[in-house]
Amino acid sequence: MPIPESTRQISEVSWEIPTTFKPGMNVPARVYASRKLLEGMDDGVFEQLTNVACLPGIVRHAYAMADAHWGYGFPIGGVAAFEPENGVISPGGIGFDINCLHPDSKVYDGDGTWTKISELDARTQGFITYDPSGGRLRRTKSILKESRWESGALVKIRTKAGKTLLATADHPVQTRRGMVPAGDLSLEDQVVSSGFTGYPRSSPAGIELVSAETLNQAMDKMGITGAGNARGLVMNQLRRRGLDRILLNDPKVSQLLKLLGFIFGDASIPRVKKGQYVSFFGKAEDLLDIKLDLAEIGFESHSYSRQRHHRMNTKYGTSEFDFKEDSLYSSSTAFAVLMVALGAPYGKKASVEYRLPRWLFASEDWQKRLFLAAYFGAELSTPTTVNGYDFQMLLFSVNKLATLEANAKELVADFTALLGSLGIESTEPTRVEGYDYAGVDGLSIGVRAGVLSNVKNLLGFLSKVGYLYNRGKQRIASLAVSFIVHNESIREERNAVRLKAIQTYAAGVGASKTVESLSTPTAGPSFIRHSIWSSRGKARVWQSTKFEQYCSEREAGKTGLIFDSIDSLESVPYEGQVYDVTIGDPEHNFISDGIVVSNCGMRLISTSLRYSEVRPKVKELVDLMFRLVPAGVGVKGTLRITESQFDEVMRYGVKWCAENGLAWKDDPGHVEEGGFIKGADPSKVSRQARSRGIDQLGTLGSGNHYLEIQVVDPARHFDKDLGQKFGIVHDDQVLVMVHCGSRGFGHQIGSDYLRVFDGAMRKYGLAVRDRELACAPFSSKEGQDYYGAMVCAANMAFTNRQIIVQKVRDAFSQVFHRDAESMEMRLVYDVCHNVAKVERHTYDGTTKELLVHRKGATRSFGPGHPDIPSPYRSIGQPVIIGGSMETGSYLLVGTAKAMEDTFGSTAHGSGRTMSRTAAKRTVRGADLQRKMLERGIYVKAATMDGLAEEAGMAYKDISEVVETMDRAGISKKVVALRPVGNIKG
Amino acid sequence: MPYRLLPDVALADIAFEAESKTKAGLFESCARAMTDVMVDRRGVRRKVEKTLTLAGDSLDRLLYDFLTELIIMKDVDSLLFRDIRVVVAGDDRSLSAILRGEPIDRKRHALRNDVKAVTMHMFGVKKHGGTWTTTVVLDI
Repeated sequence: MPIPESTRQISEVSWEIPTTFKPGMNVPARVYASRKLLEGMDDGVFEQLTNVACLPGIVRHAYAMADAHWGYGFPIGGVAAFEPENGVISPGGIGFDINCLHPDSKVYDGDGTWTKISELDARTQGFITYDPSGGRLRRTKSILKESRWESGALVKIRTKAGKTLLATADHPVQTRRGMVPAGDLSLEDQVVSSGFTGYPRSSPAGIELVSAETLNQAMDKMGITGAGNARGLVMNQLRRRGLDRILLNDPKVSQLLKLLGFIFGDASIPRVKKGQYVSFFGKAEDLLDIKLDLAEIGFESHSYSRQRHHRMNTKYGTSEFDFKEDSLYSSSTAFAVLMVALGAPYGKKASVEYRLPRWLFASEDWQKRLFLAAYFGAELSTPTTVNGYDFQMLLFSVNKLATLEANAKELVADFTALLGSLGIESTEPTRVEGYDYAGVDGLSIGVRAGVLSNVKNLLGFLSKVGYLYNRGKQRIASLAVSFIVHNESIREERNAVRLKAIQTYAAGVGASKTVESLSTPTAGPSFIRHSIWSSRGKARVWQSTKFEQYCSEREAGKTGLIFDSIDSLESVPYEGQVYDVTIGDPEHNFISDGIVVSNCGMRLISTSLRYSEVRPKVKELVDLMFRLVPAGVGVKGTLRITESQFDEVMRYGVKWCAENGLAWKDDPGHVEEGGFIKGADPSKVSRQARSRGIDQLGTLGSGNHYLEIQVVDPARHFDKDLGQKFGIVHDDQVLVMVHCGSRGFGHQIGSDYLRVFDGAMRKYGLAVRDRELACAPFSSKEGQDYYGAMVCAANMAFTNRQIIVQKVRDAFSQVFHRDAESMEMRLVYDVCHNVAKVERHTYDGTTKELLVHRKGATRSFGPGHPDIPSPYRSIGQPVIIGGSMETGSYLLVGTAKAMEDTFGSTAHGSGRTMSRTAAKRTVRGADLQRKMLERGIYVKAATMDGLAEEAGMAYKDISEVVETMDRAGISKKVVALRPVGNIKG
Repeated sequence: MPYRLLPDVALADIAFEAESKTKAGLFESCARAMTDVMVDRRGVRRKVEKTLTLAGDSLDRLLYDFLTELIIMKDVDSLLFRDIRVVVAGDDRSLSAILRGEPIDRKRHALRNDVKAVTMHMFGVKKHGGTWTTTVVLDI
């Protein structure tokens, strides 16, 4: 597409495409470019820019900077600002369609407790979802509960495993062949169902569990004195987390019950003089669940794994074995005190007397279950069958010193009494001699009890209590329930056939006729003959599928859920409210997704070194940095952080780095927004995005990203006074520039939300001219979620660049045998040029908050703006514009004119003019590398193809771009920087 | 020709067009094309086998998610695949894939471009006569 005919020249370097250009444009489009650059712009820019101008809520203009070129949705080099409120289209509008469930439908939360969907508080409860791609269950938070009036009929689905679901015909149901609308199900379909049923959520009484008094008692017991204000510190720590006074109806009691239950099992709070801690033992995957719960109530924990050798003397002789022990530690004294105050045993469990806390007996059924299931996850045996059909009794035991046998029996009796209060029967606590062993503290004994294994009792236990913090046992328990129900239905069928056969035969019908007429797949001829000729009791189930086979045939992934056959499908008349919950997971902003993917940006650090000193070392420096900063396909960084630390990275960016020794004290103050953008919400980031991001910190990636050693170009040092304020004091000073972003992390967030927006656009009745311009109202749930996730990506990108800079400092320090500090390797600035931010702007005589999207465009705030970090506030913000690796880069400064004209925005780089494939065809990587070396630029690239693709001739002339922006007055040139060493991702 | 690169579609990125007589063949071609963008597939050995099952509400969605899943495996598990076999369910709502390959070996593999995402630009599976076709633009 050539330059649109209606384009009007506004000034020497600005052009306007009026709204008459295409139907639907809400504002004119404005392009900043010299005539030469305008004529050289690729066709897509005008088309895309005018599409952006059609987005609802856009203000003033859709802007393209001098470096603009075709992007996805937005052109790269594009800027657009939106009014948050007017960008919204009422959800009550067009295309608002939700798929719904009957009000009595049970919805399970992260505690395994159910609530009727009609009574659900969707904002506060977590859920368990089934992830069909990974075949796993995971915790998630819901984002939206919706309801509508249904007049007509609902589909009633009954399954073999005894489940019933009432849903509208359009409600999707997970089946073996994917999601299928309930109305399209057939009897051949198998739906995913869970054996676990749990207890309904009910409101606990406001019984006080923890108070200053109980905490002080616990500290007395643990020997924590008031010396050095130790007690005060504990109380402060707990108060900060809202845990200094806890009532039974506090929402955090769920996590506390589980943690407490597990401490009675496989965790301990050892008796120590100083530095109280709690250690949990289990499989790594289960410990992760514990870690999440600890984090939920505000405590950090650390995982360890070690190889151990064990030697045990028992009645049957000495046994020795090696095993890998995974453990999790919480080194918070406050947490240890809290647990002891709640009734956790303190010290070696085998050598101290303790019982279950009495308040447990006053808790709600679902709460008792949380405690018991966490304990049983550690202590109760796994369901196994005797013969493939019938399950063995589930057993648990308590081991104590022989002198404490009476207390061991009382403790086991406490557990069976708590089970009894849930209607589950157990055996009497009994001492088992086989459990005796001689340990270092003397002879210890074991007291055991079991959950009665009759079908009703076992089913009640496994379907309602079961296990927690033990995914393996949870899974088997759920499968066992489905299997038992399945077998019971076969048993009932056989009983019915037996009865009928006896009656038929008694009525005078011959044996062979009776067999022929009544035989079924589950009640065959020999069963019927036996029923007629010998007197027998209840039918046994045998010769049908065994448990192991049932699991392998039926289990959905590794979840414990089964593909359950449909028994009946019927349409039932219904008139009333129906409900739905939208799950806030990856599967599930006016903020447009076309814009933000990698959050890449520029970072510049200065040094006190002269080029004459650095010149002989450039090769050594580049080679070392190339080793320290991984680049290329699928590379991972060397920094290992935990999930909770990654949450901190998402929230606090460079501030986190500074607190963890990964930044200099002054660094955060030299990063846009002070090192992190506020409003990050890690809960809106998908699991996939997390896993793509967590180990990519400190990596350069590939594409057009680079790390470059640069020298001031004395002939183009335009404003020495300002240069000095930015730390550029010599004419041959050496600097280092980094261009990269959030790697796969931001891209995954982009992909995830493209999908969310696909649905959101239908929901809010939004239509756009390009699929990549998917969007949602900024004030909508989807819009806000995306904003929270996108900020996480921007903060991750700040962090990534920070960690790279630390490695650059290391490299310089190794090569020059000097401290990085002594070389004054200070951060000049870090600016993200791919981000949407809420900012205050004055235009057309009013001042208001706008959501400004900058895609491949740099913020260019002028002097005095409060958002500029303090070192530069009085002079305007530094603007870093990166050129191709051959032509060099520029440092500029933001202006008041940019505030007036472009919502404080300018260009970001040079912009491509030639495709990657074409560039590769034109130049060979090795030739380019040699030619650049001749010109004094030593370059090292992850791949030679990648190098050729980034050749200077594939880009616009950076000087022309910078000149244009300078003439337009929206950024002013300070200094040009030329490359001498380059690492190409 | 199962796929060809389109040099003029995306300046900063890489685009290709794929076609096949079957839906599964189309998915396989796209996955191979994307892998070829990242590595010389001939140097990738068959050491690891992965089975992937995906569900989605349309063929477009399935293809997008399938390719995205391969990118995730590249970043998270460092895996690149030489053999890619796909079965698409008759209702276009789910697929299974068997993937054979190995972890990235920087010394041995001839690595090329790092693919960060599949874009929605020009994306969509179409059927012309008896042939399935699609255009895919990869974000580099």
